[in-house]
Amino acid sequence: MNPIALAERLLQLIPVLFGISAIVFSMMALTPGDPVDVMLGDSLATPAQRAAMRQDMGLDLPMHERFLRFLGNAVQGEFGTSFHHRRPVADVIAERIPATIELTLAAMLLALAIGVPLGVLAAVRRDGWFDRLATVATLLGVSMPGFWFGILAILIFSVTLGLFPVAGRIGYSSEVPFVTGMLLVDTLVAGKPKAFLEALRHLALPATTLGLAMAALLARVTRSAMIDALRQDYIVFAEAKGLSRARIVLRHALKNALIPTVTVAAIETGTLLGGNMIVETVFGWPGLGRLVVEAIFTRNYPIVQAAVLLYAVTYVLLNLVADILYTMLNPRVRL
Amino acid sequence: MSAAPLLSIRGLRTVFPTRQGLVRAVDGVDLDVAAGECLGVVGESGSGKSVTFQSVLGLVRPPGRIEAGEIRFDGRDIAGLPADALRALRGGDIAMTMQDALTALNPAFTVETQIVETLRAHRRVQGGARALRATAVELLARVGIPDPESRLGQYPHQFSGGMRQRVMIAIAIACRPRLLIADEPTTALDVTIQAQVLDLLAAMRAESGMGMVLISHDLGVVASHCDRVAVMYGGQVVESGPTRAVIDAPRHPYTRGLLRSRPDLAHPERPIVPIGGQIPDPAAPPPGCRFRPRCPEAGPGCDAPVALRDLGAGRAARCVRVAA
Ligand SMILES: Nc1ncnc2c1ncn2[C@@H]1O[C@H](COP(=O)(O)OP(=O)(O)O)[C@@H](O)[C@H]1O
Ligand SMILES: [Mg+2]
Repeated sequence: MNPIALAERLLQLIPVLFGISAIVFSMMALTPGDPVDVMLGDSLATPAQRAAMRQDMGLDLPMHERFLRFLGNAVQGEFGTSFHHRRPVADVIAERIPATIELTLAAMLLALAIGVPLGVLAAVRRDGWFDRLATVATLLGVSMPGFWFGILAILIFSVTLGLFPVAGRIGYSSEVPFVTGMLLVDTLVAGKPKAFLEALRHLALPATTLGLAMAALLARVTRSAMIDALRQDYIVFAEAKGLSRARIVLRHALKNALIPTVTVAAIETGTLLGGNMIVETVFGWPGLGRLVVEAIFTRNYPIVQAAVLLYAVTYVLLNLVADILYTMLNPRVRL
Repeated sequence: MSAAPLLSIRGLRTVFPTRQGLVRAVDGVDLDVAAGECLGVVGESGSGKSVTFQSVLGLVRPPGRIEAGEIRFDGRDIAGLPADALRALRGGDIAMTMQDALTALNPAFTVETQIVETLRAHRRVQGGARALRATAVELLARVGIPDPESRLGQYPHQFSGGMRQRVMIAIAIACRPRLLIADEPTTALDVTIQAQVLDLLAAMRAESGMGMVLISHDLGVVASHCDRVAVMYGGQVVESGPTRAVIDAPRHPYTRGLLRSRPDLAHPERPIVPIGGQIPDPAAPPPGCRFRPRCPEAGPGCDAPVALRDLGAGRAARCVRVAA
């Protein structure tokens, strides 16, 4: 993709983000209940104090001015103060992002490592016993609810067998200096192999829970794309050239089959980066997803607002990444 | 024919099980190609031309299979060859080009990759990446692609139809095959480009002395480029012989029909008469002569099985009404 096309795509993001901001803003503005009441709760604030606070938050302004103010603040990453934490929303969210990124990357790597080979093998052995087995397994994988699988995994591997911790990211005893916020990286940077293993043990179950579901999806996409690719004329011609079976399958067919697979993987990554609320909640994983769940239950609107915007931006950006990958794999398309 | 032919096909039968029944795509085909010779294979679409030569290279995919017959290359039976021996043959001694270069070339790889991998597979070039690249440039130049160095890094979709066909021919001749099977090399091309590609194929053959099979549904294409011609219909060869002789005095009614259905430059006043009817259902061909339902000359006896009979002078026909 050339720089001009890329700039064009980025410019296209502006109206999208504007629309999402409008939705997020009205979601808040139209929600019954006064945010000031929510913030102050049952405290014994005088009407004057409440009015001062309303003015402070700009709630006395006309709607369009409030929206402009919201936009201006959002552009600067200002989302106000978290009711619950009494700290800037941006800080609270930023704190949770590395945990979600770590979980997402681990799950996605696992999914690619399992899903793609599974899909390729199933396609090559189409209708054989391996393919049938894989079809059933991946169907289960994509249709099984994440929380159910997660709870099952906790019951078996953590509670009964005691192999993995039940919740959290790392034991309390481990002190890890902040570098990236991703503990697998930070522990290695700090040269603490024990803490690394500890972090890995915490990550194992949630990453597997998310990763297996994704692997099932990627395997299905890869399988059908491979079957399609293997039917093409260019495969017959590659055979007529005397190429080895391995080269035909792993280069000629797979490079074409990876186009849909990578696209789906990138979009799914975008979804996951928004934080998987269910899996993060089940495993007590202190990421974005769990933060949002908590925020919703405590009516912590600024957090919800900021998180929804962040989801949207991430999702749209990852779609852009998917498009870029798509053009890299598919020379016929030049954006 | 004096010496043993380069390629000899006897009694080839290739079938595909389908929902409609067993399709006998190729049903008892006999063909010979001598070294250095050009054999034209003509017939309407669906007559079994492609499947015949895919069978030769072992490219028929399951559930399709070669049910009977013998395929000899250079005297050696290659019909049941193990996979790696077959692989050495494909693209090595026997090369093939396909009808549509746009779908036959992999869209995801550069032309360089697709040429070089063929050279690598057959270890035809001594030396490393640079030598392979030089050979690829040389091949592109040989098939008449201008500015080959800079085009090497391009993808198939960046070439015109004619240039793509040339790229495919370059790949096919990369390992100096002794037999080149060109499956409808002009069908996907503009009329103006067709002659250029045919001339290129003729030049490649003249240069290397390789044998060639030129598949086409157009007798005209075959007439000007082939020593001998085989006419196929319904999975069978219905007539074969020296090209001139077959065109000047066709013996099989189907060959006559093919000739009448195309403009005759020597007799432009003659009307073009298409062959009526449709090719038979491949899953349930008529008993006896397959052409009978469409044959203007059909009569009693045509519903009995009929074999390809030798008519002398290198000619043969599959018709009960043709006297030897
Ligand atoms: N994979 C296949 N499955 C079923 N039938 C096939 C298959 N490939 C070819 N055929 C049938 O074999 C017959 C001959 O096909 P083909 O050799 O491609 O014809 P031609 O090259 O002369 O146009 C056709 O009737 C076609 O339908
Ligand atoms: Mg064909």
